[in-house]
Amino acid sequence: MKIDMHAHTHNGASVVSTDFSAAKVRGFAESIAALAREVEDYGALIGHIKGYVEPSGAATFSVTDASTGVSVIYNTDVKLGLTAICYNITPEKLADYVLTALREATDNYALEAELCSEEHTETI
Amino acid sequence: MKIILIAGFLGSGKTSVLLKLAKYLTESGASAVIIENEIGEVGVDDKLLRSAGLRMKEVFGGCICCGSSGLLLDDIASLRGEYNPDYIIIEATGVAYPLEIRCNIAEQFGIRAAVLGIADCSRWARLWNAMPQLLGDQLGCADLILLNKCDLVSSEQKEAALEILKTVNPAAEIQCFSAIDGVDRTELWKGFLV
Repeated sequence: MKIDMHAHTHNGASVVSTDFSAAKVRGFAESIAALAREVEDYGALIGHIKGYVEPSGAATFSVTDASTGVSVIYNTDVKLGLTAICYNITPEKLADYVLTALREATDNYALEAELCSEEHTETI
Repeated sequence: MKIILIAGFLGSGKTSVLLKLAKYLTESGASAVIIENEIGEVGVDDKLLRSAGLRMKEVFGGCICCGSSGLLLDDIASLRGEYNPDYIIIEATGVAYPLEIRCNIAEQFGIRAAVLGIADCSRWARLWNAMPQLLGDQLGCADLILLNKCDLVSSEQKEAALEILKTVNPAAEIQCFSAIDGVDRTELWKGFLV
């Protein structure tokens, strides 16, 4: 599956954003947390990473013992969107990290991104 | 019609503050519509605002202080014509320069937008060290500055941030704030909206 991923810079910040529908989403929050760690370990400064999940079907919860975290799985045609705005990192590198996070979140390691780079007017 | 511009760095809490302000306005019987600007091509904060029942327009994929300034002015004119609201609340992107936006609005509509600046106390030291120019420009023209996320920091961190903010904008009222603490801010909003 190939998704469009928009990437550009604005006043020194790299901005990467995408939205698409996935068959399943698991652990989106954990994937975003992992993305944040990857970006900071790289040496970038996080401006903001934010996203949404819009399921059309039910979310299922599962826990088998108290020491394990609860697994939340959104099944069936889930729309998700994510925007990452970071400094000291190129848009392309940031897009790589975002794609990794989305592959984890959708359990789809065949997910590919078509990078759409646009020119944006900047203040400085 | 009055215009309020909410400005501040990425992740500082602009949307959370906007929700608080919009709730106050609605409960006071005033009508408000929102213009939401996102620098990315994908809307995220609009989902939250719509789920709170707010009327809004979105400007995505550009910044209303520069490349998308024309779209902002069109939206203001359109909202004024359609709703004639008491207030238009504009949430700028976290990389926007609010003075540019205020100047464009004044030039087009003859209205001086009130600027509500949001500063992130929990990341203040790190962000000020990395980009003092942007933060200074964003908060330097604010009429009221909310030092947000004060519930997450020590009193020393808070005092250090306040000291810098007072030099960045000596004329502004500065208030320590938490967008999620449930404290009644009626007097704060009344004072700002006069």
